[in-house]
Amino acid sequence: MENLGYLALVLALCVSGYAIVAAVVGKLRGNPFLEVSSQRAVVSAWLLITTASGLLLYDIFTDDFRLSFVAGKSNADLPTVYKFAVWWGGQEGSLLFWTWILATYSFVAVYTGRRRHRDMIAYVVAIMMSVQAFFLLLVVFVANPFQVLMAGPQITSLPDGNGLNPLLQNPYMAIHPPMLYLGFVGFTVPFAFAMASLITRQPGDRWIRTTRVWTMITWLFQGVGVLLGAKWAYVVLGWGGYWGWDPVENASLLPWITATAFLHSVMMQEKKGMMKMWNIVLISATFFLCIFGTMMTRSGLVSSVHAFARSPIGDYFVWFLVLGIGATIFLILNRLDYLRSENQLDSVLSRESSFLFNNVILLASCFAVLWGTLFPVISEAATNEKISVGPPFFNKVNIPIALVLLLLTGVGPLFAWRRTSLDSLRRNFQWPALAALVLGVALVVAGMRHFYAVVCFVLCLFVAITIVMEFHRGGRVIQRKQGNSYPGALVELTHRNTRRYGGYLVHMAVVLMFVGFAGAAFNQVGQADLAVGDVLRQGEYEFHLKDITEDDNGNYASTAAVVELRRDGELLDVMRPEQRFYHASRQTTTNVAIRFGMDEDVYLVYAGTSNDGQTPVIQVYINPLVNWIWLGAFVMVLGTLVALIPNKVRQAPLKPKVVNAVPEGGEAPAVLTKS
Amino acid sequence: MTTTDEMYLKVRAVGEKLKCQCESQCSYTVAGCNMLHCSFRGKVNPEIKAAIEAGLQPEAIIEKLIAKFGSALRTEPQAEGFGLFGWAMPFAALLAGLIIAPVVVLRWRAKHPTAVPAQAGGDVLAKYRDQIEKEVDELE
Repeated sequence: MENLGYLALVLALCVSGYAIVAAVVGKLRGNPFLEVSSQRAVVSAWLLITTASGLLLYDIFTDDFRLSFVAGKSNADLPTVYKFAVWWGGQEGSLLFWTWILATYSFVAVYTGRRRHRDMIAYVVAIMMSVQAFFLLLVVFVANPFQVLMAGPQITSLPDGNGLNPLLQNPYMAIHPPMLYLGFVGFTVPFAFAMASLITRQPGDRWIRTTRVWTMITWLFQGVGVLLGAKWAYVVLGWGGYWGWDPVENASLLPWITATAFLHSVMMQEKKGMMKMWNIVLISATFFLCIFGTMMTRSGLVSSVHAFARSPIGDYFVWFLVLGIGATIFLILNRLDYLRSENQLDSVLSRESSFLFNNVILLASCFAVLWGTLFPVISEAATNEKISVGPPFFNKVNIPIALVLLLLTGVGPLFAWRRTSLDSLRRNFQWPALAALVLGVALVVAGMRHFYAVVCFVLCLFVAITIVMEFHRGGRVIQRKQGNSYPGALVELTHRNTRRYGGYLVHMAVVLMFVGFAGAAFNQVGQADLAVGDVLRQGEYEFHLKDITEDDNGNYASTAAVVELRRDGELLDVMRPEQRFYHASRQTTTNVAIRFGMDEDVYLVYAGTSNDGQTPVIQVYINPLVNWIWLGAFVMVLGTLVALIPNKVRQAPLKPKVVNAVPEGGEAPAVLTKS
Repeated sequence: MTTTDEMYLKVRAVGEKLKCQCESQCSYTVAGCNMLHCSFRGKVNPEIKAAIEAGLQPEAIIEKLIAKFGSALRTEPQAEGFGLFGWAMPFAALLAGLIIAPVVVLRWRAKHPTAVPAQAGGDVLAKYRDQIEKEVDELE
């Protein structure tokens, strides 16, 4: 079986190589048969990689511990759902998973775009297959998931596998990596179209219109993946937080930030024909940051609890990045004339300017995260001393930048395209600004002294009101004109311009998340050694340790503290934080108990036993407003889905069209009509 | 009824300013690391506690531990030497962006100033422009 899997991967590599050559040669020589052949090679490669993936899954589910990968990452008693997660739980399998997603994306992108983009699809095929060939090279020659540990008729029984890392045996971890990979890999599609557009000197912004849906869906996957990772960290790692500025966490955030900048700046190109080069740079940066993030997770470049084992794989990624970035820069410089902006700016006070500043802030934030992540490596290279960088650095640098970004989230959309009058600004901003000011004063009077938290709440209210006002004003106009009910008018309004109002919903999601982030300023922590019958008081809560129970389900043995949560004597919940000992991997982990609430979470950790080994140690975290972050995640998904719905009435751009014959000796009158 | 030990909170406050050096290569602080068998936390926390009991201030405790375990314990670069460069770069990048952006905006604006019909008076134009903006705002 393993030979068949490996053979499928080798064949897929050959077929991908053929697809590259056939696509380029077919295009350059004008041979349509070769071009079609290259497209069919894309499907063949997908079939081969799918076969290899299916065989690996078969080996995992049948506990074939002859394979190094299966023995290292799975065990017989691993629950079925987590056996599926073994696929991406280790270096070799996850690279194959990456490759399979890319093959699937390539298949769909090529077959949905082959007729509409006949002129550039050959280069799309060549670029996507080049990336695919690189990953196939890795799984064939460097990280083979079908590597056999032992073979031969003399083997009659096999020892159990080492098991999946216990920290990965969680529902969030079962879904977080696929989401993140769908994002990471998905940015290859808009990048390939952008490069193909440059190579073929396509006029206008066709590649942007074509890849808009791809980019948004990919951006959504990436965002959801990042947030699921945060949720996983919160419910599994047991330190009471959701974001530790770990290098691998940062690696997942970086391309999402540049993609967010791209999603904003493409509107400039679509509506005004501006920032063409910038958009190419942004989508290229996003793609290469995805590759860079993949490298960071796998190469041992930076230390991380989330990283795969150190391996020499990083060198291959470095070469791929050097060649890819070099080729991209050459192509951009070679096509500079084609990338010149068409329209110019009418006023500094305009939506165009706000998008530019939005991009500056987003990229500054991206750079700050990247700089902090790599600074230990840079400092070691420059001074031979590794200067470590932890959460305090990232918080100090990024919080002010993030607050400016939050302000722009509210301010930007209220600027009109081309020009905004001061009167219009006053009309749009006076009530939100006044309400925000009142809130700020009220918070300070009420005793809130955490500067960033106060500013964050003030800005959140400001942005929320501007968004609500946008919906309200538009809804009222439609209600007056069409006589709809108010909710019906809001739905109608959104349906007329889904991209705009979906975008507002995403902005509202950002507000909700920032409320959640600000809550961290008021976290409380407590800890005590508690014997059964003892009570710990933390804030307004009482924690009664009622019992210690033990269990074993074959996969792990657990010890749970049964804790009654009370407030003013009233029983609120019975919580069971656990310690688990996983038999296969021989690792002990904590399993926290959380009572979720929109106002605050009560978060309980069974942190071990006291120094004498007799008394359980219970850690308590009171985390205000954390659930606003997860609520924001749902609203972000909703907003993006709304933005993906086609408008009720298609908005066609105004184009000059000659409607009258040219009078003799006169000039042709041109009028703007929808066409 | 038990409450959280004051000493625990003091030790934790110091631990929040030190980077954990445990075997799992976590990137958390000593206070934040919740690895059950974190040997580093087990080693450092008693030292922090002893230093607090001896009357040392948090900053002095941190410097003492860094002298003992190395500068990798720092959670942020020092504001001197190469560390200062580390602090400055993100803000320098932001500043550069904030300087370049207005220049770009002004260049965009300078290239093709909007044509204004010669016969229309400034007041009349402003009046109609306001009217258009108001109506577009309402429609949007």
